[in-house]
Amino acid sequence: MNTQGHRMQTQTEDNELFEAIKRGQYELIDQLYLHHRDAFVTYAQRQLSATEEDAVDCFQDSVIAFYKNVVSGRLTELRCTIRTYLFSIGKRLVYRRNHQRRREPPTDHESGSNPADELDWSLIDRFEEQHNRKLLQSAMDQLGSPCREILTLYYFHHYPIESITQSVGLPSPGATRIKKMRCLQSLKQLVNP
Amino acid sequence: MNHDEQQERIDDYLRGRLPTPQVFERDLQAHPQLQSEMEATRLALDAIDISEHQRLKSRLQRLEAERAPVEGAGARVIPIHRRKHRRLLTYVAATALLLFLAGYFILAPDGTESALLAARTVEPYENIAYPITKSGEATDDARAVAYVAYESGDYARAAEAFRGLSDAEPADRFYLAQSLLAEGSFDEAATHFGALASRNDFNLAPESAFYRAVARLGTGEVVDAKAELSRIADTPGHPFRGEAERLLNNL
Repeated sequence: MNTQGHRMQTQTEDNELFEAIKRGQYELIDQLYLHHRDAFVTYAQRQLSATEEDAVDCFQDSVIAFYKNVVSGRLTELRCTIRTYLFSIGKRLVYRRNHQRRREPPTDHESGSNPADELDWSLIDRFEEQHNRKLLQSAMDQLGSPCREILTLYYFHHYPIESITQSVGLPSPGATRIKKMRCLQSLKQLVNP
Repeated sequence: MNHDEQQERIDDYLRGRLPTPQVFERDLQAHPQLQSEMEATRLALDAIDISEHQRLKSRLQRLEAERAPVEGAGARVIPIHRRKHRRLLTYVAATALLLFLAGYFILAPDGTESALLAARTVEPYENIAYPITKSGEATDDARAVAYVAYESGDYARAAEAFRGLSDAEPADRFYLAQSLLAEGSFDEAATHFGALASRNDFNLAPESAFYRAVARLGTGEVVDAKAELSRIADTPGHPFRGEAERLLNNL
C-alpha cells in the first residue's frame, strides 16, 4: 500500500474509532492510548522538555479529555486526525505542568489556531482542582451500587436512559429515570451535607 | 413545579439543553432555593466527573504498568551524543553485518523492486510541528498552507509550499522531505533527510535517519538502507526501532 493509501486508511480508522467512542465504547481509550502513547512521550520529551513521567501522566489525561469531549457532544466531528487532537490537548497539559514546575518550555508552537481550541477546557481545569476532591470522590464511594453506575453512565458517559435500563437491569426506562433522580438526590446530600 | 421537575430543569441547564437559559438564570437570581439546588447539583456532577476520571485514569495506568516490562528502557530518549560513544563490539557487529549484506546483495537476485515496495509502506510522519485546524478557511500564511496541504495528503502541493518558504526551519525541511518521500522523489528526499540526520541541534534527527534509509530503499541503495535500518534496529530507545525491524523483516 502506498503512503496516500495509508493516510486514507488512517482517516478511515480514525472515523470508525470516533463513531464507536461516540456510542460510548469507553474501553476504546485503551486502543487510543497504546496507539499514540510512544509518539507523544517522545515528542513531549524532545520538544517540550517534559519528563517521561509527566508526559505519560499528561497523555493519560489527554485521552480521557478527548473521550469526554466526544461523548458529551462537544466534539461532533473530526476536523483533523485523532492524534492531532490528543497531541494538542497533551501539549497544553505539559505546558501547564512545566509552568507548575517553573520550567519554561523551549519553544512555543501555540501560535495560530489549534484543534484543541474547540474543546471544553473546564473539563481539564477540573482535573487539577484539588479543593474538595477527596470529599467528592469519597461521596461517590459511599453511594454504592447501582446508583454509582446509573449516575456515571448518564452524566459522564452520556448513555441514553434505555441503555442504562438494560445495563443495570431495571424494569423500564421510567423506573430508571426515577431511580436516577433518587440517586442524584442522595449524592447531593453526600456532597453538600 | 415539583422537586423532580426542578431537578430536570437544572440538569438540562447544566447540559446546555435548555432552549432559553436566560430565563433559568433570572429564576436563579430570584429564588435562593433554586440557587442552592443548582450548587448542590454542580457539586454532585463534579463528584461523578472526578470519580470516573480517576477510574479511567487507573485503567490507563494499569495499561502503562503492563507495558513497562516489555518496553522498559526502550521508551527512554537517548541523548544524541551517546551514539558517538558506541562500544567497539557494536562497530564490529555493524561492520560484519554490512559485509554480510553487501555480499548477499552482490550474489542475490535484485531486491530493488521489493525495497521500493517496502519504502512505499512507510507512512508519512505526523505533523507535530505546526498546529492547524481544518476549517476550510483560506489563509495567507505560507507555512500554514504547507502544513494544511501536508495534513490533507496533498504532498505535491505541500512540497511546493515548503520549498517556497523563505525562512524555512529544520522542521519545515523535515516535512518537505516527508512530502518528497510521499511523492516518490526519493533522491531529493534522501538528501534532505541526510542533512537533517547529521544535525545535533535538531530534535527529529533520529527520525530523519530512519526516513533517509527509507528514501534509499526507494532509490535502490538497498545495502546502505539496510545497514542504516539495522543500526536503528540495534539502537535502544530509537523512536523507529520497531519500525526498522518491521521493514527489515519485509525486505
